[in-house]
Amino acid sequence: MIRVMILWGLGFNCEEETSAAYQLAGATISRVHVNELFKDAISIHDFHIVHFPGGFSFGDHLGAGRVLANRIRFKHTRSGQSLREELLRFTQNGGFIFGICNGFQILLALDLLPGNQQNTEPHRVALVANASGQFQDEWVRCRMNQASPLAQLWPDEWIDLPIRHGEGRLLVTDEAAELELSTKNLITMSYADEEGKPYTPNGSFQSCAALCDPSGRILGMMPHPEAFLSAYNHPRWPHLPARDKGQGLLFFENLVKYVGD
Amino acid sequence: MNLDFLHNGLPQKYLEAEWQKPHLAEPQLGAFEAYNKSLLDLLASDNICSRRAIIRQYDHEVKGRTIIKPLMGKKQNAPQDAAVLRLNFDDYRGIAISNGIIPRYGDIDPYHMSAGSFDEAVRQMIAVGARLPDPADEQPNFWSVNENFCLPDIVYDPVKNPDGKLKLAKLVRMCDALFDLSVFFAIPMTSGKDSMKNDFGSGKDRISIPPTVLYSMVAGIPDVRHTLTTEWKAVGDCIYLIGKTYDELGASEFYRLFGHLGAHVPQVRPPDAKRIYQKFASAHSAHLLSSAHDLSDGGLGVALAESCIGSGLGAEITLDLQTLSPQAALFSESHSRFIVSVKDRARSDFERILSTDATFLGKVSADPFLVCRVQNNTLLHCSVPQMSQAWEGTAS
Repeated sequence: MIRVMILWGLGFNCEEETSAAYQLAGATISRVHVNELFKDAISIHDFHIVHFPGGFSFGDHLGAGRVLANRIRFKHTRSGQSLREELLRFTQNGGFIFGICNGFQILLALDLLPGNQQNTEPHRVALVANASGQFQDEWVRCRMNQASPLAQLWPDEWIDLPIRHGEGRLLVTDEAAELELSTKNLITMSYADEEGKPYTPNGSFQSCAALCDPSGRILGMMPHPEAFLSAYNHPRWPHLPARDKGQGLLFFENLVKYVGD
Repeated sequence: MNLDFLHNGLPQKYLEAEWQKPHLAEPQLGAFEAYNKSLLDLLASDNICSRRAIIRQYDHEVKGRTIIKPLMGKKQNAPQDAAVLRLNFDDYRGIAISNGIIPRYGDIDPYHMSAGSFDEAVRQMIAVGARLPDPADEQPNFWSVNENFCLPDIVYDPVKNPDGKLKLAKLVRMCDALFDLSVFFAIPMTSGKDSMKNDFGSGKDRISIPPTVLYSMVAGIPDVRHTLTTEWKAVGDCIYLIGKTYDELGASEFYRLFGHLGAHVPQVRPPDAKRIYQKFASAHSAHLLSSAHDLSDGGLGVALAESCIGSGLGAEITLDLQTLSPQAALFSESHSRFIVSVKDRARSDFERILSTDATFLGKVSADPFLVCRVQNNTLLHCSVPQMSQAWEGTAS
């Protein structure tokens, strides 16, 4: 059975529905307070998936995800390695890291996602304030990149999900990083409008909604599949044929199966 | 410390209240040829227009439990009457949350403002599919109401607060209505939070806020999948008005367009309201309703427009005025009313349950226009995009 570590505390606020998502998808979960991780009280290597949920860790001060990312970068564990290096070792051993919304912001600030993996400043790829300058809550249609290393997570191409963020605009500052994202098909998911035409709610580079690393072991995404566990979460549910599972739950089922394989 | 002093040492406070009914009259607006401009002006007005800009800026999806959100429908622009959330991730039990607040009615009578606000919160619940609590049930449906009073200084002072007695009398009348409605509907008042002395300055230069009460309700929903949204669902569905419209344009949004207050403030008729809500719930539990929207600010005209905007579909309506003026029929804000849409095949069952409490108005049309006729006169003829633009504030 797939074991998932779901981090909580210090401003994360999506751990409940994230726990439900993995459990309904057939995984077992442990909710681990971030401080427990910092105290070395529990090892990420005992899990198959480490999940960074949505929320506002450290109040988004210094930029969303920045403070927690720095703590992970500079926190030394008993092994003598930093927690960041432990996370990389975890993926090299087959583990999967998933960050949603604030989790995505943390993974990117932690240089675990493409463009930044050399662990150098300044960042070439970052999530910054939405082009609207405002927090945005709306449901969007997303297109799964079927050439992406993680295409198996959503073979149906289209998925409807809610976004809820103030800093979800992916900024890519140099051509090498742009080239890396496009040639390796690392933009896993992109935004579209209700008819499926390109649409960028937040000004994101190439309408990017999700990024993965070339190995397919690290995924960060802005939309919230954990908020679409029931078909009745959809804003158009009264107009759609009756069904039970939301597309978000199907996404988690695919994820658990993918990690299990 | 002496415990008797601690518990009983504070002397009972006595304040003076004196209710004076304001001397008001209905304005003479005369007959209008059509009400298209009035409707569009209402849709664009501050109390009725779309709250999209606010709704989109707060997280109403967090915890992943929202089933009816502030905006629903095909284009996520259909305003809803109450929010519905499920409680757990492995079943569909849930709660609905509603709010009632109509401060401008207090300029005519704070009793009817308070009673009307209470009824508004109740009918929003009914509109999404909640059932009134029945104390005779072994396990009555869960309902709870909280009040938020917001008032000026109610302590009379001949110099600093010369109309303090009237202000206190307004609070007394608001509380009377709170008691009457809470007891009548058997909805427990579980808590509240009150803000007093909302004034600036002193004596004749004093600025005081109008006495206001907000009722926030929570009600249990046995199955959140069996709830209703406001937008039309299908072309050809039959549109009904549930409840009775009275000549009650006093303090309405319609009068406000012309700078009038009027005199006939809407009044809650509790026995009628309860009968209507029980019939509504019976029709809903028999799966007869496709959509439901409670009537509040802007009356029938605005509710019809909102159901059109949210669905992109039109409506063809014929009104039988009886003794009402066209403006009262369209814009009176009489309480305890709804518009619902019903599948053609469900009409006879629906009419049997609602009987004289429902009036057939017309049908949902593919033609995106809200058309409203009285005999040979066309009172309203507005396109859905035109109404959307007015309501969203995107009209040029």
